[in-house]
Amino acid sequence: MRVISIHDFSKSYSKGTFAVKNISLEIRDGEVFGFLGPNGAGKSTTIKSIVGLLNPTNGSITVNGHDITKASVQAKYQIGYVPDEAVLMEKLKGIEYLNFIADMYQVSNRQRRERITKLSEAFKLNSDLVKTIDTYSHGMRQKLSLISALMHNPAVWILDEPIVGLDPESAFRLKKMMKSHSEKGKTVFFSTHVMEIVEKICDRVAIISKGELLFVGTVEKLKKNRGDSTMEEVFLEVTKSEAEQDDFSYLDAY
Amino acid sequence: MKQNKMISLILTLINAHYGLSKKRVQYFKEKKRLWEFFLLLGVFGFLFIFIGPLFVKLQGMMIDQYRQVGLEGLFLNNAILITGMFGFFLGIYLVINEFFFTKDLNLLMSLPLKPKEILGAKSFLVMIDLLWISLLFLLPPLVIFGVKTGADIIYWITMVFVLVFSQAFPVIIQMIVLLPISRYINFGKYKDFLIYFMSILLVVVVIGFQFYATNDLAGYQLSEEKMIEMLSNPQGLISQAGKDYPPASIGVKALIGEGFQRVLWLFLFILMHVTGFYFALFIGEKTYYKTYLKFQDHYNGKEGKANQLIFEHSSDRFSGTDCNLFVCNKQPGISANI
Repeated sequence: MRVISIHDFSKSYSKGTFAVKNISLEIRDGEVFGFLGPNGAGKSTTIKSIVGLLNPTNGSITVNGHDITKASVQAKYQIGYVPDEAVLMEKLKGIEYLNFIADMYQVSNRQRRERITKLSEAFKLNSDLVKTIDTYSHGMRQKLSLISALMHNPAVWILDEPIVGLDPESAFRLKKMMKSHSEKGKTVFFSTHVMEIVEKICDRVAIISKGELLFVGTVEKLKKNRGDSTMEEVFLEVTKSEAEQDDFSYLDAY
Repeated sequence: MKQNKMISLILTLINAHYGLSKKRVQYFKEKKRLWEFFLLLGVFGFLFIFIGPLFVKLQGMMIDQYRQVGLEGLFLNNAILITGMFGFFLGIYLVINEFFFTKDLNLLMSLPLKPKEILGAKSFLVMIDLLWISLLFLLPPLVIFGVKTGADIIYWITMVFVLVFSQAFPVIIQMIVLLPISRYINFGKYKDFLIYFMSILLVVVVIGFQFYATNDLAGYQLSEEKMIEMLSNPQGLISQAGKDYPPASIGVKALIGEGFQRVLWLFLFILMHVTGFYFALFIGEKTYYKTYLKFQDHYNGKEGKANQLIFEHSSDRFSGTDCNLFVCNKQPGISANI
């Protein structure tokens, strides 16, 4: 079954300039889907449109059958979203923030108690939940953002560069959680720049560059098409990066 | 503890807005910045002990003067009017700030909330902000009036409604005007300009209102027939003075009107505000969501442009101009997105 369906989606911020041009994607249930691309390629624009933070200029996006522009509330109940930069209420305590998010998703007392305890232990944040969020480090904010997104047990996880800021142990746990979520028939859609994660956990990937989809398929297929190079090399090749030809001798010239 | 969605949203916004949790931790747990807490207590204590009696005496004298000519209603009318005017002046900035510049919008819009729920909670927050003005300028006159005239129970009940709704009218009008306008003017883009423009506009409106009200009232007073009518029927003057600000005249009639009519005026007072609030929500729902998304477009578009600028110059890494640096400095988020 298709969980996220993106059909002829375009997004323009100003007349004639498109951040994303006519992309169509189907993400199925039980899939860990990696969304890759260089900076400014249109990843965050696509993700923000999927979660209803941006209106598509053209095309449609549905999440579990709910059109994100026409039935945004129903669609948002299906989603657990972690933005690229954690947006939190700084002056609240961590636990107050989590309770607020749980209220918004109508999570029962029992479920929120269980999930807050387990998730905060997994991310080693339990003792910090009584502190106000403005005292948190970047990594702690990212962890809180993750816990709040997963608390209502959403069917679809949409994570925009979720690993950024996490310590290696938390990053490892998150990868395991993502895999476990997909094994239960649910969906994870995430963007990342870390090719190692893509290789390890993604069932399928899409590569976007300058607003256009360049590839959609499995990691194996992608690598096979490019003569079994490393994921990093494949990515640079697909996105036509000139990074390998760069000469950095000027760095030590003086 | 699970809470109703709307109650939780409003309480959380209030907590975040006033930093209540942070202050509680700071003052009572960490025992930091306690001087701030005591300074606040001291200032309010000083005002209450030294300024309070003088204020009460002045208000009492004013009530006596109004009563001598049988115009005590005008005293209440002025108190409601002045409080409302303050609400209009200060509220405009609070509404713009709360609806268009607070960071929490990014979070709220990603949650399963209807636009009118966000709108309702935010307007409630603005009203609470403005209610401080009412506590300062409206509550004391209402209480002093009630005590001095030995008001009955209906007066005290009505007083609570008048106080609670005292800032609703300004906020409703501001929402009805600002939210649709924001579809055509990108407030996010012209923040500085908007503050100057609104300030000038407000001065013009105040002068215009003052001119209109003075002329209107002067014309009313100069007519001999109307002067007689005014003295024989003080409610007429209240209606005349209050026609520029309906909540004032309706509120006064609900507070000190005659017999059962008071209850009807109170009902009308509540109905007017509740209907106005729902109308403002309706207008906001039709316009605000798109406005917010447009605002997001502006933010993301700017980020995109800045990124584009960096990419355009990436082939010549030493040609960073002032303009480049300026754009980059304005958008520190870019570096976080790399």
